[in-house]
Amino acid sequence: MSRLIAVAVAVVAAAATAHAQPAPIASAPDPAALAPAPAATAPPAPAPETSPSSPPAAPDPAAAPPSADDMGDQDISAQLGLATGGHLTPGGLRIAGHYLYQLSDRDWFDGTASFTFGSGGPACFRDRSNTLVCDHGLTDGTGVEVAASIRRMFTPQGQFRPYARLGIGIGAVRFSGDDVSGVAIPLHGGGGVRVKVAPEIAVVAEAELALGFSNFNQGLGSALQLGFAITAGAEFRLR
Amino acid sequence: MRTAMIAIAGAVLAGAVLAGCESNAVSRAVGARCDTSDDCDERCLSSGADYPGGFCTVSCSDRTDCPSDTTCADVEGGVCLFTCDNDIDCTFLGDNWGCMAVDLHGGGIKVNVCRG
Repeated sequence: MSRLIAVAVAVVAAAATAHAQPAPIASAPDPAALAPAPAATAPPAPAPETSPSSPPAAPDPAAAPPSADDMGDQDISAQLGLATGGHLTPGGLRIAGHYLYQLSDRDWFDGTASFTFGSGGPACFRDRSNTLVCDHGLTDGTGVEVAASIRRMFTPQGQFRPYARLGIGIGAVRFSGDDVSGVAIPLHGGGGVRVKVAPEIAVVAEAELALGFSNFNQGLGSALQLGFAITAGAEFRLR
Repeated sequence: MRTAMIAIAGAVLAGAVLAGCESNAVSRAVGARCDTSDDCDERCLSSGADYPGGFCTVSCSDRTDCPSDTTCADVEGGVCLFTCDNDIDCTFLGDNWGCMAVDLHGGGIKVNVCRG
């Protein structure tokens, strides 16, 4: 528990640090900024002469950071998809909203709010030793969660730009048919691909695995959280 | 790109493993303890000498109506009970359960099932 909290704090701290130190903007270097400062006792240097035979080097497109091509400093995304759970992990229709904030050339902070809507039939029972056992299906239960992740964008492959995402969340889980509720703390790992379709709009599709633990009422105590989700949606550049 | 594909493949594999997890022998349909039918998928055979601790089951007209490892016993109007060869086969249901012969519902033969 304390280790997961420490990881969460580290993720938030990393995001805050990056916020305080915005990523450099990909542009041609300013010669004035790169020139060495003149010594205080040195005589004034003659004005540099521009030689037509040595024009300033043009920026190499291949060396430009990937962040300069399509994503903004801030993006928002709405996604829809399917989540599968089982046992005490909710599954069903997944609706998620993302807020992306650029941390570095390749990394974005990804704040996510997601909702999972599954069926609500009862699936818990008392086994022969009188212990409550819950055996929900892959698309049972409901859940709401907020998560903080880091999204790393990889080099574009033609029109497609793949990415990986890693983060941690906290959420509430409920299986109404059994009156079972709990709190879950899952780690998220996954990846996806982003395709730019308009100057400020992209289509995204991603798959993720959630693995963590949860604590439930009704005497169920702690339980494993293990779920898988595939979502797709649109991403909008804010600035 | 390769890293992303590996991550997605790993996630798919883990999902498949999750989907393949098995539950234990008893279920809400047949075998769970119960006090009322709300504790079961269909009906509860109340706790007593015949069904110590209560027994969730489903009604049946023949053995094809019953889940695996159970058969349609001609008791309580026809219900699915676990099949057995001897008393040891019934110990997973708890104390005071044993293996005994009853009529097969709609079959005209005897079958061995777990009862109290």
